[in-house]
This record gives sequence, C-alpha cells and structure tokens, in this order.
Amino acid sequence: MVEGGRTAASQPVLALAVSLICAGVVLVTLATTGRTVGAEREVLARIEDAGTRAIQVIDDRANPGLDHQILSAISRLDAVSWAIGLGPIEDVRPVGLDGADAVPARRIAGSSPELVLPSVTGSGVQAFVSNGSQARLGFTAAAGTVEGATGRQYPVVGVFRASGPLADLGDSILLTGDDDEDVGLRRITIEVVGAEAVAPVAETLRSLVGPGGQGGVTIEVSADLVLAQSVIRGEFAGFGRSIVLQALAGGLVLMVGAVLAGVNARRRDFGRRRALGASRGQLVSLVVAQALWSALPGVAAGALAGSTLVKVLSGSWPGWQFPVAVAVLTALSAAGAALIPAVLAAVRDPVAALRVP
Amino acid sequence: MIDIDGLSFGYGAGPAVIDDFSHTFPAGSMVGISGTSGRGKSTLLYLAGLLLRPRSGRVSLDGIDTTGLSDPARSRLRSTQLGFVFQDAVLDTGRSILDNVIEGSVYSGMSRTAARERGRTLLAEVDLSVPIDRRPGQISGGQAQRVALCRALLHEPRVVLADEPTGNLDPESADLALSRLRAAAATGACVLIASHDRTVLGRCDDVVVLD
Repeated sequence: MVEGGRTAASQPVLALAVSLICAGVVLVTLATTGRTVGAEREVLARIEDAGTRAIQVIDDRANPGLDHQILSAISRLDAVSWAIGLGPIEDVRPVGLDGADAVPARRIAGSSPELVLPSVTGSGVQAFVSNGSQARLGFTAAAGTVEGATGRQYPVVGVFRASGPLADLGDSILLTGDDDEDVGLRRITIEVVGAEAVAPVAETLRSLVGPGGQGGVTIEVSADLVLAQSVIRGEFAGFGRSIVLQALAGGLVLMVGAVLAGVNARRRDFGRRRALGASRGQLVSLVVAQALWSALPGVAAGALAGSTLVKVLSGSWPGWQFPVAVAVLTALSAAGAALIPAVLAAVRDPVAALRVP
Repeated sequence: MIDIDGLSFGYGAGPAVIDDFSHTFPAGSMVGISGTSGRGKSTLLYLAGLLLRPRSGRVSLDGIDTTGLSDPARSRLRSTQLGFVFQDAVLDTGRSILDNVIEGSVYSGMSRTAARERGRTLLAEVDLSVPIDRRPGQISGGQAQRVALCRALLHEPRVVLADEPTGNLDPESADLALSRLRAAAATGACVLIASHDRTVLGRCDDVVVLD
C-alpha cells in the first residue's frame, strides 16, 4: 500500500489524470443527486406536514366508548408524539346576541403542539374561540358567554390556534373544564413519531379501543399519503441510484483507460519489478493501490466542491454522509477500474519488456 | 551455486533457443556466457533468474529445485537470492538514485532504514560522485549502470546475473562494474555475465560458449 503511494507520487501525470476523473465523478454525482436528495427531503417534509403521521379514531356510536383512560393509554405509547381527545359536538350560540349563527363546540382533552390554548385560571367549563368562530358568534373580542342547546352557559376566556391535523377545529369552540373526565370522547387525533409508525400504532389502537369492527369505531390513517410518500421516496431513490451509476460507469471507463495507458507506458517498469522479486499478486496490489492513492485527493476535492455547489444551488448543505459515501464509492471504483490493467501488467512477460532489441 | 540440468527453452511455440543445456556454476566464481547473437545468452540468464520457465530440464539454486515452484516462491527467491544487472540500467526515472537502489527491499522484506544505509554504502563504494537524491535523468549512462549494480547487490545475493553489463559503458565505468562484480564473487556469490566482449570474458574465471 505504501509502495503504491510512492509509485503514485513518482508518476504525477497518471495520478493527476485519475484524480481529476474521480473529482469529476464526485462533483457530477453530488451536483445532480445532491440536489435530488434536497428536493426529496422537501417534498417528503411537505407530505409529512399534510398529515401522513396522523391517525384519527372516531366513535360514531350513540353512547361513545372512547374515554380518558384510552386517551391516556394512547398518549403513553412510545411511538405517539401526542394525542388529543374531542367530545361530542354541541351547538352553542352567544348569549345576548340575537340572530347570531350557531357554532359547533366540543370538549377537548390532552395537549398538542398543534393546539395553542392560552393559560387561564378559574373553575367550571371554559370556552375558547378561534378567530373564525369569534367572528361567526359576532364577538368583537374573545369575551362573552355562549349557551348550549341544553341551556348550559360557558364563559369565553380566550382564543385558541389549531394547525396540522387539528386545523379542522379552526371554526369551532373548544371547551375545557374540571369535569372533562366525565365526558365521553367522539374522536381522538393522534400524531405518531414517523410515517413508518402509522401502521403498527394503528394496529395497537385496534387492541386498545376493542375488538376490530366494534360497531361505530373507525381508525383512519392517511394511507394514500403514506403510499405517496413511499412511492416518492422510491422514485427519488431510483433516480438517484441511476445518476450515481451513470456517473460511476462513465468514470469507470475513463479510469480504466487512464490506468491502462499508464500500465502500457510502464512495461519496463513492471519487468524491472518482476526481476527485483515482485510476484504477480504484488504487481496487481501495487497498481490497485496506486490508483487508490491517486483517487484520494480527487474524491476529497470533488466532495468539497460538490457540496459547495449543492449549497449554492439549493441553499442547504447536503449533509456529510452522502458526499462521503459518494467519495468512498468513487475511490473504490478507481481501485476496481485498476484491476483489469493491473492483471494485464502482472501476466505480461517481463523478459519481453526488459530485453534490449 | 546454480545447477542447470537438461534445460530446453523456446519462446512461445517457436524453435528451441536453448536445447538440452547442462552446466554447474559454482559459488564464488565469475562465469562468462558467450555466443553469437540469438544463441540464447540472455535467455539463459533469465532462465537462471527464474523469470522464464523452461520447456524441460531444471534449474537448482543452492540445491533447491525451482522447477515446480509457484510464482510467489520464485519471486521470493529472486528478491532474496538473485540480483540482476541489465544492459541499460532500467532505472525508475520518477525516483531518486537512492530510492532506485533500495527498490528491491520492498519485495525482499529488508527494512527501509537498513536498505537506505546499505544503499548509501554501496553508492559510496562505486564512487558515483553525484548527490543521491538526484533523478536518473540527471546522471550519465555510466553512472546509471553503477546505480543498477548497487541495486543488484543491495541484498547481498547468492547469484548475480548480468546481461551485457558493460555494453553502454566507457572503459573506466566498465572496469569499475567488473571490479564490483568480481568483489561480489569474492564474497561467495555466483556471478554470471552474458557478453560478447572479449575484455569482459577475459576477466571471468570460466566462459561457457553457446553455439
């Protein structure tokens, strides 16, 4: 290996040629595939935002069976980021404002980063409006009282903001209170840690909420989005692989040509080495090691330049793993490309190269 | 000592260049190999140096029959027991003079430090009179041949094979090269010199004529 390095240093033209080819392969691969990886990340992130990690458990039975114990059990699952329980919908109207629209209100339990509720003190059930529901109620500020169909009144104490899988609550009123645990839940919205956890968590939920097919309880996952995510990931991976393979194949052909030319120009060198005691195996190792040494500065420069190019073109660095993987793959390809010329050099008759005509 | 028995060889499917040749080259002697062009002088050296495999017959080095040895085993013998001197020095132009002298140490297993020390000693003995960090392209043909001689003697080989070692040299350089080969024979090495130069052959202990 060390002799390979010395030989590479003693043949700077060949070393430079191999190095430049390797740098080109790494640069082209990163500049194309690196951008693809960036685009893949962006698209997948958008799909994630669209709710691939969300699961809805909906109870349509006359007497809801979902309760706070189930919600608590779901929240404690490792693969669950958060879970929010929602009670039955109850239409409420503003007290003292005739002619205002009825707005759906529902009890809420649990917490989520996608749901921002102001912290308030006080006892009893309190109501939180969204900007939309406040307008529908005709309130000029987040203050007032709403009344349900049963005549029960709830003081409005603040404005909530919902996003992500809870964005559909934006036109509702949310109710919280010290008697939350007595209220049955109609819906539990869950977000899991990753799209890959959706299926196993959904399976666990089926066990938690009761035997499958229990009348009126359904578990909804964003199957289409998960499928789309998987398909897109596969498409991007396939495209990336294709680019890497094309770049490597092109580089491989050039490297075989360069190393072969170098080997052919050094017939006497190999003949001399054989006379000095190099075995065929040592000659093969020497040529391969020389190619590897020659490739190292090229792949390092290519990885650096390619990463910088990706940063310039896409605005973000590609991360260290991908450039390093491409650099290692290219260096190994250089070693592989040297194998055929190395074997040719090793089996060549040393005497024919050494004899003076 | 080299013992050659019933040796035959031809290139490819061509006619035999060497046919049923037998001879014993004793240790501590300098033997010339003579003959007109094409009679197989160099070929005999390469057969004795294990760079070629004979069609038939055997070559033994210090009692070791090399006929059935594998390539790594033959290479090992070349790196530790044999030393080659070619007509034109065949130096690596990309490396320094000293690095050329110690090149064989990569294959013989000699430590680089020891090889450099021995290389410096040998180069001093042949009175190279140029810095040892120079490249071969910066020295004369005679100086290059002295470097090649040092390279062949680095590991104190049991057998030295010299193919027209003085062919391109001026008389002074030729005399120095032959003196150095004689010194190697004096230490017990078997020195074979392929040459058609009567002066060279005249300084050998024995001459084998191929005809």
